[in-house]
Amino acid sequence: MKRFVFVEHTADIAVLVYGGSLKELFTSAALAMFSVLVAKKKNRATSALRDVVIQKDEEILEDLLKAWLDELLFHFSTEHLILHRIKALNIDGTTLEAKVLLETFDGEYFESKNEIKAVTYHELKVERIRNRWQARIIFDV
Amino acid sequence: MIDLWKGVLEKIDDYRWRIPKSYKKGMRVDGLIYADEKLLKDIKKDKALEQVVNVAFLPGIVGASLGMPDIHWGYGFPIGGVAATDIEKGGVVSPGGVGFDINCGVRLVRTHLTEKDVRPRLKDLVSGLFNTVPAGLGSEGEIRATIKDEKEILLKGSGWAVKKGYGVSDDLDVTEEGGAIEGADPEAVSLRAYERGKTQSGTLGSGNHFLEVQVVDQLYDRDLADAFNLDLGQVMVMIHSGSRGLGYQVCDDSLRVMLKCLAKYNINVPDRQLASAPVESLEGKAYLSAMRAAANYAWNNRQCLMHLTRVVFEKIFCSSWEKLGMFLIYDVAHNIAKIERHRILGKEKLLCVHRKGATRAFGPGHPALPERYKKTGQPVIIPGDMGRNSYLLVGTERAMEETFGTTCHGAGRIKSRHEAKRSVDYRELLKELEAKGIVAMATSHDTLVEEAPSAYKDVNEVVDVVHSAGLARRVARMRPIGVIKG
Repeated sequence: MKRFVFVEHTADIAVLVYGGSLKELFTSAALAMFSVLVAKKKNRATSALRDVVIQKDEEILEDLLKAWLDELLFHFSTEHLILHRIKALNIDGTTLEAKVLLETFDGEYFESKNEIKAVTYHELKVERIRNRWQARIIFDV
Repeated sequence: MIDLWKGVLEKIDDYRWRIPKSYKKGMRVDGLIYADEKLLKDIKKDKALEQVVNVAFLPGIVGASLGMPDIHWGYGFPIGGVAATDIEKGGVVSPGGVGFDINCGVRLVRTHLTEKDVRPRLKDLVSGLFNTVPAGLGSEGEIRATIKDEKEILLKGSGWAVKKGYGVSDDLDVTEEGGAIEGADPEAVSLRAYERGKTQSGTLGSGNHFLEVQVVDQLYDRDLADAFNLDLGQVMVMIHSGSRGLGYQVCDDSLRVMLKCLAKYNINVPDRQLASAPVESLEGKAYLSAMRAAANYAWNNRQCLMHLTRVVFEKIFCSSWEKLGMFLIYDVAHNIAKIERHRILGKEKLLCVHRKGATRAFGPGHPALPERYKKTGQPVIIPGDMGRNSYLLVGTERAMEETFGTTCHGAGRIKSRHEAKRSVDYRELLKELEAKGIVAMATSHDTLVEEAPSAYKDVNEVVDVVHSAGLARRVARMRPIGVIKG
């Protein structure tokens, strides 16, 4: 089963992301976002990695998803850090706690793709369809 | 693709279409779209018209919710959307009516050079520009600003660059708001926004931002062309960029605050991205103070980019930029909210005018114009795609009467980025551009493909509508010969 699929949008980038659990859904969303930002050219033996802890508390799931992506986007746009691995991700109601491993962008190993200006609220939706979670996200690029 | 928009659209004349406010409960004014039949067919293919309807819900909106001919689906407001709210009547300001890229805009620089002078050195010129003007991910500005400098930039805009020697005071005279809008408050800008903007002064960015070397290929009005010192074959430079990460973060921060304002001020809008607050509320004032700071950052950014461009031209053509005649014609914002006075039903009102992907186009004699453009009207710069044309126009009295002195901002997309990637091949595109005599360089292949000419409406058709509808007058048309993308 695909983790995410891009859907048509005239100017920006719209994506549907999926997961069997909220944890999977949020992971898919992060992977989708980084697939817009960069593409891996080749693997490297050792990477400059950094541990980052993310804690978020929002009123609704949509805002929690946006806050999670915003945090990752902030590290990417200020320090050019790319998601390497999610070490832990716990979502309890509308609270999130995560430990992520980020790696530094290096033009030899990554190709830069689109700049994402922001994760928008436009048509942002998180829903449970039968036993599966689905979210719709539009990135302003 | 989604289904064609099936709402109510009444033809007023060949260039004007009305969505009556009876179309949807909650609309406070009509929607008014400027387009011809051909453009309208494409406009109906996405959700732009429904967004015009949504904008008509904003408290205090006056006149109509406007759509320019380059309108397309955005977030909250459509791109190419214009809305003015009456401040006295509780009119709101909406960060979604400005967009994430606050004061994204364009500047146009003339030169004394002709295509004949530039053609033999074109490849050197384009690679010189590409190597000097930071673009794409990870690019950091050579022009470094400390935190103290950043605060000064947010207050003084382009004035900061000029003080540093990156330009002259004459540049400020021909920049909208003199390159620094009043009422900016650096304290209203979050630490995160500073962080995101820190290393990006003097960087182009990516997406649809560009730097182009262009040639004047058509003149429409000899008197106006003379007023701007323009002739056929003359080389120009156009720069399209905005407030970079700083502006994106200011918008994002404000949206979070304004989402809470929807309940607080009892504002009913159909899209959360239209979160807003009364202009006179604490939240509204705080947003406008931060937005103006970001706008100043953007004007300074374009000033720095122009400086870098002048330096490259000086190296390639072994002459000073003054001798090369590289004078700024004008710099306009096309993502901004401004407090302006306009006449509504014969009465002068203080309005908050949102222009999201729309350009101010003040007519002759307007007090906001510099002395040299009082007779011509405000220069309006409309970039097209990298394979076709761009335009210089001037604002009109009719725009003052109908659209709060506003016109279109570009060609407007027609294909999604994915569709462009599916249908355009990178090497084919470079060949196609080369055949037209255009040298293009981009840090990302994806960006170039996504921005391919076929992804855009024909800017000639868009400009034809605003000219024919009287929202701006054509002065000159340019075609690109050198393109730098992020």
